[in-house]
Amino acid sequence: MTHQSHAYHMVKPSPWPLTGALSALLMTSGLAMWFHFHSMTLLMLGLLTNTLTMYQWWRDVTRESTYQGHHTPPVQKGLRYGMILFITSEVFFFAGFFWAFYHSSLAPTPQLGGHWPPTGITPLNPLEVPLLNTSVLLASGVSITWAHHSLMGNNRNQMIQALLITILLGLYFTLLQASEYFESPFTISDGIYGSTFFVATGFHGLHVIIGSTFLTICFIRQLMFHFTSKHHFGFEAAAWYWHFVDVVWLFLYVSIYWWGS
Amino acid sequence: MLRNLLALRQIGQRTISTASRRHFKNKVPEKQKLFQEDDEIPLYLKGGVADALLYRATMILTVGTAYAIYELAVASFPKKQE
Repeated sequence: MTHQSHAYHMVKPSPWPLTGALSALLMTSGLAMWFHFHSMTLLMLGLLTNTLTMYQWWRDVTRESTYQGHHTPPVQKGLRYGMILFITSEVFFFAGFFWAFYHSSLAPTPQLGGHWPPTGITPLNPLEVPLLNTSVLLASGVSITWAHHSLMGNNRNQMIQALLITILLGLYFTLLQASEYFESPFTISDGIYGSTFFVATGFHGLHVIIGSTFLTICFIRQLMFHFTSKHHFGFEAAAWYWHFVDVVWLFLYVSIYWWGS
Repeated sequence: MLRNLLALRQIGQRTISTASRRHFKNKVPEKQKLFQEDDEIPLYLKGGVADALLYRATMILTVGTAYAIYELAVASFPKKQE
């Protein structure tokens, strides 16, 4: 059997990039079918195949790392760069929506009544549920740091507890935000206010769900003894992502909920 | 033929794990042994029968649907009569 003389990971061929690309095709054409022809079949198929791809692809990454040992220090360094670059790209994604919000709100048009919030819009009170949401996410930032330190200190039970608290706080945020959406006096079609509000907070909510899912995977992996006190990059990546989600919320809260009211 | 028998033996060794009721046992060393076996089975199939089923389902749903849409597109346009 030949052995490589370097520490890098030469990944073996895999079918998941193909199925991932095809699932993206099915999702996008599925969206078109839903929008224009009132059929959700293709979209559901796309979402299903996308989920299957993600599950198997990341399952294989766990196999390559935890079970086969391919994640040497240089490989981990590359993964760190990768996660940082991905989160940076997400920052730019949200920057666009903040741009749209500030563009519309700093110079409100005569059609809106020349002021912000526009005529007819009753914004949500920033000191009610939105403030609670802020405290929930800030607390989750504390608990995830506790989880990390417990992990580094080889304290298995505390790590599990702290991570569970983090996930539950994330779920609590999502439920609170969902109820806010349901109770809101304005909708996405209520002019530019509705558009900027729901697109920005909506994408944020989606990212909270993604982050919570990532944390849950880490929780399961911790239960299965995958992480060591020295090597647990999957958890660190999830923690970075979670802090990013928290920071975006703080910007949303200050800009849209507070200044924008 | 012999290679298939050998592969079958390895797949037979893959136990369906049942999670212990209260305390999780550290099964990582077993998994490490399983996935480091020098049997040329690709990683995405190396876990056992469930891998193969999931793989097939994913391929059929993606490639199959993409192909079906292709055929639909071809069928949507009339063939030029010579």
